[in-house]
Amino acid sequence: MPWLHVPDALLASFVRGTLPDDEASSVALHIDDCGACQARATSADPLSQAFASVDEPALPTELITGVLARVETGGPRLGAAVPAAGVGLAAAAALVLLLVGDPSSLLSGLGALIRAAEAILRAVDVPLALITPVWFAAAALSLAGAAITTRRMEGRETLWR
Amino acid sequence: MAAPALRLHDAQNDEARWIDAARDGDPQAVAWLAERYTHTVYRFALRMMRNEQDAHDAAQETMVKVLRNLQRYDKRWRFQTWVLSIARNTCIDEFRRRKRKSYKEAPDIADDSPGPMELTSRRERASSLHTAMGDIPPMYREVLVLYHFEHLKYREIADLLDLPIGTVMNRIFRARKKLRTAYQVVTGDAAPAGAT
Repeated sequence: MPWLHVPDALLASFVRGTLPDDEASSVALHIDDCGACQARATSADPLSQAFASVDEPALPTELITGVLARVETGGPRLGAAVPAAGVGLAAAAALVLLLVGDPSSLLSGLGALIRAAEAILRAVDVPLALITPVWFAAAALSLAGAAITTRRMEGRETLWR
Repeated sequence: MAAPALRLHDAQNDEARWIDAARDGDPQAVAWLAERYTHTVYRFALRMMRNEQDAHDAAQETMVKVLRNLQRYDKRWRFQTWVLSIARNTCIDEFRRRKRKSYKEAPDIADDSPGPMELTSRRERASSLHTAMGDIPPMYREVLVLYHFEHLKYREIADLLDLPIGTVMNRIFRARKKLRTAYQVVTGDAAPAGAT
């Protein structure tokens, strides 16, 4: 931008909302960081006097104490619940490993299961042509489920970030 | 009310320390955040919901969510922006849940008691603005409240609403136009001074 402060005519157009988007964006970003131009933009706004006339509403006296009482006596804090759940899962995983023996035997057990499933499929001689659509359907359902889960998580993130 | 270790000479600059302490469960830090932000949230809720009881409930709900979920606060955001985003979502939820009150329903904040001319004029302007704000859709009222009353920057409003900055500006321009028209109707006047 070729100016140190927004020129008057440009600022007037900005306040009126008649600037093209790209030009308005650069003016807005400048105003965000320049107190002098922000004050000029505010005073150029015909409604600024009316906005300046509005007094702060009084805060209900018991509101803060009510908030603090609910925070102190409320349900479990999510921040504490997440680590607790993590510890619980880790403990459950450790218990499974303990029962199975060790991680390598657990993996070899899983491998044996997969080989057994493969053997059964070969024994019953299910044609590959029949299995493929089933696999595709299962994969599509999994993908759809993952997409829905991701979108829900993103929605919550937007809400809470 | 501040703990000795946390006694701060400049609360604004040390806000991050209070937030960290509150995250660690320090009740005095939690109280400090409640003291500092409940008014901001109530002010926003009152201007959006236009009913004192609804604003009270929404503000309390918002602050409880804020203080119970400090672990979720992302420090890349200004804390006030994060708090206001939760206030906004809470107000929207309240609107949806209740559906019993019009956005236009408003507390009577105007004071009709006689006073000096300038003071009366100021009150009249404020009252007219309040009424006019009730006559524009919440989507537009929201950006005006955030910009003119909460003094958020354009990019902060864009972050809060999860919109591109150009969209935010367009919305503010349209909001001003609608408000100007509504204001003129309320005052039964020509455009306010300097209106174009």
